[in-house]
Amino acid sequence: MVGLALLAAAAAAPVSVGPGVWRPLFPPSPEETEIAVEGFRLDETPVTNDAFLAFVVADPDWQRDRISRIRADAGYLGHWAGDRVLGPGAPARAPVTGVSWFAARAFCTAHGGRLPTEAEWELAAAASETARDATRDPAFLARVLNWYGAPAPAVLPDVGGPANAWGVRDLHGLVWEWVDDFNSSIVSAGARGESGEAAFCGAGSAGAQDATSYAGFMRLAFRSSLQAGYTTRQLGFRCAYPLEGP
Amino acid sequence: MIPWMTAWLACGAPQADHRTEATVAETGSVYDLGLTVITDGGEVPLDRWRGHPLVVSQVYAGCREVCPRTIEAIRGIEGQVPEDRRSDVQVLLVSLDPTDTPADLKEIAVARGADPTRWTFATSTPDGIRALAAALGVRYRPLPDGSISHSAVITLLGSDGAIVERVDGLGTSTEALAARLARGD
Repeated sequence: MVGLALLAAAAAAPVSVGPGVWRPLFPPSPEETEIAVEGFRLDETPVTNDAFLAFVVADPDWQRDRISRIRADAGYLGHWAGDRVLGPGAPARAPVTGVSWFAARAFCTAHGGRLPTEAEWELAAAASETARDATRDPAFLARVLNWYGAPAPAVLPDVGGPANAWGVRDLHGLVWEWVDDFNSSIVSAGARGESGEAAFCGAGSAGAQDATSYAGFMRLAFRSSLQAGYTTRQLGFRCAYPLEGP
Repeated sequence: MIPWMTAWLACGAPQADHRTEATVAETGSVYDLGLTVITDGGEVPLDRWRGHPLVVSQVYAGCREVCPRTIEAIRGIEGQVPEDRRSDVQVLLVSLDPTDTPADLKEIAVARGADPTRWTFATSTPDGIRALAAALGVRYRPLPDGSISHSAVITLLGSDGAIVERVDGLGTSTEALAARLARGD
């Protein structure tokens, strides 16, 4: 795994986030209006195409031509020119997309990390450039919403947008990102710990003050629609790490 | 005080998932994920069941209402398999609760008539639970009070590990899954 070690050295060190309290605009359950999040480290940017290329070269079971269909659907790394070739549609420093939850997880594990939980990701994403918790700042929410409204480019730009108050970049406005517990966005209204009835609807009762909180709603809806093998052109990821460690 | 309003997202209707013509090439084998579970005999790879159809579901011992009904539904599926084939039916229950023991699951299942010679009871690590649930399309969320909110899913894996039938939601018909299981392929 020498190649991975070299690449890990070249990437920016993950930044410390938290500890803190995530106050979701759309509580995942009525009992979770405030969710404590322990301190952790988070990749400064989403994982890039070149980093993911190094990963599949080192572990060929994750190459596009060899991957088991259970691990990723047919869109896996579809924007790459070849199984081990990025090409013009996948700039080296652009975020890698077209990756499934299984693939994202495997990458993070190979780098000594894991996917962030929803709470961790949202805690990091609650920050504006100046405030750690900007979730009640209408101007920040409006900016985030504008980004979601912008059309997605055919070729993604490089990572490295402005840093937020934690020092993390590109949580908004670039790509959707996998979280480890993407399949926890459930809970039917009124259920106390058990459901199983019919469909699952995320956020059975949701607090919403106005439309500017819609971005958080969209993320919740998006995660609820995902399955582990799914890949999309706008869905990438970044890794989380324990506070202590290399 | 945040005003509460109900916001329902795209709520998928409960569905049986028919893939009668699906092949491993199309859907992949769950056994390709390299998952393991912990039985009372220790850690075993999930592909121990390769080569034989397997009914698998994730429940947990502290679940007093939904999970017993899921177990009863699996018993009902068994009942729809002709008697001369019933001894071939293999069932795996894996807990959603990492603090459960296999014996905890065995207790609630045997209380409902499960045959412990054909049913296996297992737990896993939190990570393993998340991965298996992801593979089977189970949604779950541990809640602050210690309970686990979750969807009720019964999955039939083919001999090669492909997901060939899936029942999502209590009250969803198990007929197609039972018929497929009875076919024995």
